[in-house]
Amino acid sequence: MMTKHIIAVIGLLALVATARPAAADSKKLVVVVAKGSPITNISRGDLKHAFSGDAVSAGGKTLVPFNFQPGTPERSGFDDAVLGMSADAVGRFWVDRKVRGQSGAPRALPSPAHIAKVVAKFPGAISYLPADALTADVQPVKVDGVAHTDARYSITNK
Amino acid sequence: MARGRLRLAAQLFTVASLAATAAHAQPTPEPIEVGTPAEGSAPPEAPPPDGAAADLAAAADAAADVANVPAPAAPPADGPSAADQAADDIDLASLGLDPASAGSGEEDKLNIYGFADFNYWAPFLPKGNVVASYLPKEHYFSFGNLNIYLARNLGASWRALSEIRFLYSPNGSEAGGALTSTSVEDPANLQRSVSWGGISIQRAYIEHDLTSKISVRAGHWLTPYGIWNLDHGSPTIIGTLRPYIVGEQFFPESQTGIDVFGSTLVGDYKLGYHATVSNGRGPASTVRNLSNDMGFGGRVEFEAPWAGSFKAGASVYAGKFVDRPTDQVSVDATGKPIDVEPVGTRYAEVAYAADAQWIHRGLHLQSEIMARQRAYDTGARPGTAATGFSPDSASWGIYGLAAYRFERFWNVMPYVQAEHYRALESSVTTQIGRVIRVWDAGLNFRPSASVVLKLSWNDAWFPDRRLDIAHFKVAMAQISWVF
Repeated sequence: MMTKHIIAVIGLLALVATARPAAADSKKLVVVVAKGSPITNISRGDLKHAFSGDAVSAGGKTLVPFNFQPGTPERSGFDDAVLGMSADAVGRFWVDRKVRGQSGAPRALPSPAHIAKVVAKFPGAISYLPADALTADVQPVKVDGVAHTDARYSITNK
Repeated sequence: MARGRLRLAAQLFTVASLAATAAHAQPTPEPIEVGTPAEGSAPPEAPPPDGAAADLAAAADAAADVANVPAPAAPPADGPSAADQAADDIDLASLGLDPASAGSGEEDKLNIYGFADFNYWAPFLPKGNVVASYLPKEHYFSFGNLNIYLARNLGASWRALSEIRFLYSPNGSEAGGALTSTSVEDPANLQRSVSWGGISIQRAYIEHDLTSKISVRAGHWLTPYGIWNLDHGSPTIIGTLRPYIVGEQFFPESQTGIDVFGSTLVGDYKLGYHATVSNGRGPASTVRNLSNDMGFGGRVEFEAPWAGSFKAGASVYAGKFVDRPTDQVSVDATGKPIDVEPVGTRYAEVAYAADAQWIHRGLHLQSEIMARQRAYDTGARPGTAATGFSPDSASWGIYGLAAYRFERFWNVMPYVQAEHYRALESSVTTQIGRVIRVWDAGLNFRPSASVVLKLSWNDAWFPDRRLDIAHFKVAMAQISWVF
């Protein structure tokens, strides 16, 4: 009798314990490149530079960043986690660059499906996708050696 | 029976939890480890293939430029196959992202944008103060900048940018003790009066990336020094008035010539450089050089992610200023016609500057310090024996700015700026004073990324005053916008 209760309690605890990370996983934004790319890891610094207008080369190619549209949870989460800027601050950042005559923001695409397709096909493309929107044509990239499946991975949408 | 249900529930929980654990332990397949760099470090850089810069340029587009392609319906949450299906339905060519044409060097579209500002100027000067001889003493509205940018990618690794400022000037400007009027008859309005204005080409150049770390800019460009000169536009700079040391152009604000520049990433750090050669400073330096001396300059800059973003740079410029009458025809001792070059005003100049900026979340600190030396050629000083000749001289100055951007009240940014400036010796500084100190405080609102409202209070005084001049105080309001 006691054994059965213990089993039931353990089962409940295990369910709760596994359910919470699963919810977190659905919010994770996975940095992706085309399947088969030699890029399997990128530093957070390079990621920040690539998405803030600097030319970053990796795997023999200049990275071509693609963003979600402003105002989406994915874009807000990525800008906050990687660029360290709020949505308003990001807007100011890109407007100021235009006035200085510097390059504009990375191209924003309208949906995860667009992101997945462009990353898979466009040479040097790099972007990010919600973990549940990954396709077979894209390849997750570790950030500072941390895979998105790792509990330490901290790039999430808002 | 109850025991049986409890046993069944326990078994179901156990099975469910094990299944969930198993699913959690089976992430997306690990990527192929081909040429994987050391974890935590940047991948080794390699020269980009032809067209890589064009790829970057093609992608570096404003968010507003998203192709007008209807987004597919959100894929159902039943797994990657739905996402795969949605991705398969997208035509990349319709997005202007056809992989087949990437890097082909095809022309990109022309981007037209710009900024403008409108100001209210309210100085407070005691009646009869001599400063009113140099600056307007009335309170008034004015339209400041209307600058239009034309930018285009010209193909693989080629870019062009022009910035043209439209002015109401010279209408209303002072010349020879009188206000200039540009009023003329308007043939489109029964010959009634209309005032014409001018244009100022702020910059116009073409750029080419030789490699990922070396680019060349040819044309008319802003001198790469400091922070303020490159921030340049009223929506981007924090205050309403630029520091005296920037306005006085220790370095030429812009030059016409060649700028070789580039940058590289070293871990999380960014190193950049500029090396310039130009016509230098002169009355017509955008179209010709009045001597064979060129102006040379350089800049090195450093950027680090130290508790936010830290940037620092150092710049230098050396050149020869020549302002002389045009060549004249004379005859030598034999009566042969010869060309004679009038001396005019000539001096050699050297300028140095250093700058630093630290941005940590809302906090913004920046400072620039610069110095300039001017040495006239023999017999080429302006002035006369009666009025006195301009001496060789040196000047230097420093300003510091502290500001904090809040994420509320229209993203208000209170700021305060202090400046110390020791000017070149001249007829003006001889009269007023050579040292200028300035306090500037204000509020910079940014209700949207493209609209900036500023209110400022500026107090300038002359601690070594040579006339009994009170502080020069001015309140300013400005609205600027990017379009």
